[in-house]
Amino acid sequence: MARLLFLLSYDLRSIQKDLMTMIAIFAPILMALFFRFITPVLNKMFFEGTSFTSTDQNLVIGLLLLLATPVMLGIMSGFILLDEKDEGVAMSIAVTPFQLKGYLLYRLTLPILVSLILAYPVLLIGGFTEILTLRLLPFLLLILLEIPIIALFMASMAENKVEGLAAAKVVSILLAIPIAIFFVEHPAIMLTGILPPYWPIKGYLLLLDGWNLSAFLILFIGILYHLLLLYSLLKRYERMMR
Amino acid sequence: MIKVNQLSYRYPRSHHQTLTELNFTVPKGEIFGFLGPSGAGKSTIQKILIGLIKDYQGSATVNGYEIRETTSDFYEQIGVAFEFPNFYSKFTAMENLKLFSKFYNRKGQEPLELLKHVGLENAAHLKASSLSKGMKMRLNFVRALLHDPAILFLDEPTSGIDPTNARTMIDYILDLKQQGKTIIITTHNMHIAEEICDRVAFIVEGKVKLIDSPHKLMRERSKQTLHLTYHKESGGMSSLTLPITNLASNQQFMKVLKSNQLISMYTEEATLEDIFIEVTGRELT
Repeated sequence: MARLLFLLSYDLRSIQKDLMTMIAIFAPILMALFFRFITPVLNKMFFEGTSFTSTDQNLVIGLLLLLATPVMLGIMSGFILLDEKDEGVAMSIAVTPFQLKGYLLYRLTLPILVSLILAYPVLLIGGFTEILTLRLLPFLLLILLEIPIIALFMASMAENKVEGLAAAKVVSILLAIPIAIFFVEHPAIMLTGILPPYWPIKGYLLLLDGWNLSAFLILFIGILYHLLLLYSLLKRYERMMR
Repeated sequence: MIKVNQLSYRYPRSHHQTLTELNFTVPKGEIFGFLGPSGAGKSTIQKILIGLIKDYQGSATVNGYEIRETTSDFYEQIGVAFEFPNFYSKFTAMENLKLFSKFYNRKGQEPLELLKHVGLENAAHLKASSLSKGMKMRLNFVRALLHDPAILFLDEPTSGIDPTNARTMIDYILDLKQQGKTIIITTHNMHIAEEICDRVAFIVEGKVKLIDSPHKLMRERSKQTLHLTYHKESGGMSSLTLPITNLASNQQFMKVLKSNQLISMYTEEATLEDIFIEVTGRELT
C-alpha cells in the first residue's frame, strides 16, 4: 500500500508537469460546463418544434458526458503506457517485485477510480442529474471498462507517441456512438456493436422501458465482449513487452 | 546459483527456433558472460533468466526458483540493468532511485552512496533527461543495486561510457564479485569479457557453441610464438617469428638481442574475438 501511495505521489507530481494530462482529467468537467450553457441554445436552434424533447436531449448529452470521462481518461492512460513503454520504464518496473501485472493493475485501475469519482460531478455541473437512476448502474460499470480497453489498445497498437495520437483520434470515434444510436434508426446501426460502448448504451436505453430480458441480454453480451477485448489486448501488450 | 537444462524457446508466430537445447550452470560468485553477435539469442536467454519470458521449454532455475513459477520474491534477489537506460525523464536521478527502491522490501545501500561509487553524486539532483548517455548508463547500473541483489544481470554494462568511467564500472563489478555476487553479463565487447568474465558462453543462432574461461581459451589457442621486429644492419627493418620454447638456445633470437637493434617483441596471443570466429565461424558484429 505504501508502495502504491508513493507511486501515486509521483504520478500527481508528474501530472502537474504535464499540461496534456491535466487537460484530459479536466476535459469532462469543461465539457459539462460547456453543455450546461450550450444545451438551451442548441435546443432552440435545432429541436424547437420537433419530437425531440428536452428529456431526450438531456439523456443523450448526459450519456455522452458520462462516456467522455472514461474515453478521455483511457486516452490519457494510453499515452502514459506508451510513454513508459517508449522510455523503457515499464520494462524496468517489470523486473522489480511490482512486476508487469502490478504495474498494469495500478496504471489501469487508477483512472477507473478517477472516472468513478468524476461521474457525479460531471452530471451535476452539466445539469443532467435527472438521468441518475438505478438503471444507469450497469451502464456506468460497463463504460468503466472502456478505460483499460482504450489504454491497452493505444499501447499495443501504436509503436510510439506519434502513432498514439493517430490511435487517440480513432478512439474518439467512440464518443459518436450515443448520438448515432439515438438518431439513426437504420438496422445498420447494429454494426457499431463492434465498438464496445454500443453495448452499455443500447442496454441502458432498453432498460428505460423497465427491467427486461432484452436489456439484460445486451448487457450480458456487452460484458463478455468487453472482457474478451480486455483479455486479448492484455495478451498483445504482454507480447510487446517481451 | 543458475542452472539451465535443455532450454529451448521459439517466439510466438516465429518460424525459427530462437534458442535450442541450451545447457549450462553458473555457480555463486562467478562472472559469466554471454557473447554473440546481434540476433544470436543472448537477449532472449537474459529475458528468460529474469522472468520476462516464461513459456519456454526445458528448465531454467535461478537461486532455486524455476523461472516459470516465480513470484515477486524472485525479483528481490535479482538486479537488472538493461542495455538502454530508462528512467522517468522529468524526475531527478535521486527521485528515480528513491521511486525504484520503494518497489523492494530488501534494503541495500543508500542511493547517494551508490551514486558516489560510480562518480554520480553531483548529478543526484539533475533531471534524468539532462544526463548524458554515459551518466544514464551508470545510473542504470546503480538502480540494479538498490536492493543489494544476490544476482546481477548486466546488458552491455560499459556501452556509451568514457574510458575513465568504464574503468570505474569494471572495478566496481569486480568488487561486487568479491562480495560474493553472481554476475551475468551480456555483451559483444570482447575486451570486457576477457577482462572480467570467469567464464564465457559463445552463443550463435540460439545455440551454445562453447563455454570456457576466456584466459584458458586464449592460453590454449595462442600460437606459442614470439614475434620480433628489429633494425637490420644494412638499414631498414625486419621481423622474425620464433617458437616460444628454448629461446635461450635460439641463435637467431640471441643475435637480435645482442645487436641492440630490437624495436618490439611480443608473443602472438589469440584474442577472444579470434577464438570466437574460429569456433563459431561468425564475426561478432
